[in-house]
Amino acid sequence: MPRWLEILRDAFVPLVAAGAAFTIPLALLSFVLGLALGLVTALGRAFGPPPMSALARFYVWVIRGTPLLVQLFLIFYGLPAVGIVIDAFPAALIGFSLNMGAYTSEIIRAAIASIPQGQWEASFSVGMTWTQALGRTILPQAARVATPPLANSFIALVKDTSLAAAITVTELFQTAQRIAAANYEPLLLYSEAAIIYLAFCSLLSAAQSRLETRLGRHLNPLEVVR
Amino acid sequence: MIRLTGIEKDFGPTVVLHGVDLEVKEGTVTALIGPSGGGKSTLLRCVNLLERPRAGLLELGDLSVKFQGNQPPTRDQLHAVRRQTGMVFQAFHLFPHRTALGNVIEGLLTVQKLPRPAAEERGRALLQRVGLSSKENSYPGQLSGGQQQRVAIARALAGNPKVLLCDEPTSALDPELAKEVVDVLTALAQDGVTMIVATHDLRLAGAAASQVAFLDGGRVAELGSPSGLLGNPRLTRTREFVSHLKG
Repeated sequence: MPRWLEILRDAFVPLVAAGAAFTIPLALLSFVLGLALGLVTALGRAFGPPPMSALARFYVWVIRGTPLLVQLFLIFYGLPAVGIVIDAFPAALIGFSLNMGAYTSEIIRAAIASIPQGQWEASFSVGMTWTQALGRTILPQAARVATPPLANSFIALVKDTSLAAAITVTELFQTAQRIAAANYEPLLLYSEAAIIYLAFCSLLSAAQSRLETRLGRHLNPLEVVR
Repeated sequence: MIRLTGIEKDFGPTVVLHGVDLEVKEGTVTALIGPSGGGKSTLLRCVNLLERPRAGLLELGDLSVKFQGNQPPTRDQLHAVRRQTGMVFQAFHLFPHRTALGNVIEGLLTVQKLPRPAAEERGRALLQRVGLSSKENSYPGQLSGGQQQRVAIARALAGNPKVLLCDEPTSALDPELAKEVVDVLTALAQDGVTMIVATHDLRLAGAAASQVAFLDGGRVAELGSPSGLLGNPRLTRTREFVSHLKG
């Protein structure tokens, strides 16, 4: 076996283990929490009373207007100065969830707005309350519209979890850095890390296609006659 | 008995309804005709409170809702009115993500909280009534316009409403498909379903209605029997309009 292959092989298990222990849980949890936060924010902004709408707008403005890395540093290195000490993993989880919440809220808001007014009226006309109309008529249709951009955000998030390395989370990328620092093979190690990220994101793309098919089973495939 | 008294509605500076009075006896069909912008749709939408009148009284059987100033109807009133009315829209507005049967039973499941088997049984009976038994598993996108509108009629009837409100139910359909819908509505009228139908379709107004109201400028300008109002209108304005409908 050539030396370069041995290096890749020896690093494979620790890299995948770091991915399974930190990268994937961090991405999945942040996405779920961020999605919930995004839904609440979108509803607050679109339908809430003016103060709630303003609060939602403010949150999105702050999060989108500041770098993710700066947000992570503020939470992990900054907050201890005012007595709030958070471990690295939960700090990363908070940072990524807040970030996801802001971006996904805009996707969800647009998807809800894309459903025709007639769908609300038809729901009300059969006697549904506003909440029932939202849950049974609007959100199921909005989910299909939102799936491609949400998948975009999720895939971006998977890669962004590498920023957690900067606040001492021993995720995939930080593990690659450590091994490379010991064996002086940065080209090999970072290539291998890149390939593992790529593999995981490919799985997500496939899952996105399946989800779109499922949510759109009442529709013809999204194809346009050329 | 459905009774509207002094119903007024504005959209900002535009007053659409200037005090409409209308009485619909149980088991009868009232056709609303009149020019676009005359207030037909708005009046129908006031009956199930998709629009909130600024003044007037709405009576649906035992239920009465009075509109005054900007005081909104209570939640209970709103839901009571919606449960006792069914609406058929010009553009169908079926739920695209649910099958024909799923559309019909949606209100039964969520509003009446019927168990699914009972809801499906009732839903199938309604689809049969509009001649669509074979389409229960089709999605709206797989149905013709006439079929979609018949599903919408079945959906509107599912909650067993006191009145079926039809807002130009055939206007989006070609004459052949419109006939399917006219036939279904006429059969329902013969079965004693109470209806208020806004329409430009003289077949529908003539065949199904027991009274016709000519709505012009936000008022009931003329009210009469189909043969009287459509055959020999009292007002010149009505005469002009009816002659346009006859083409």
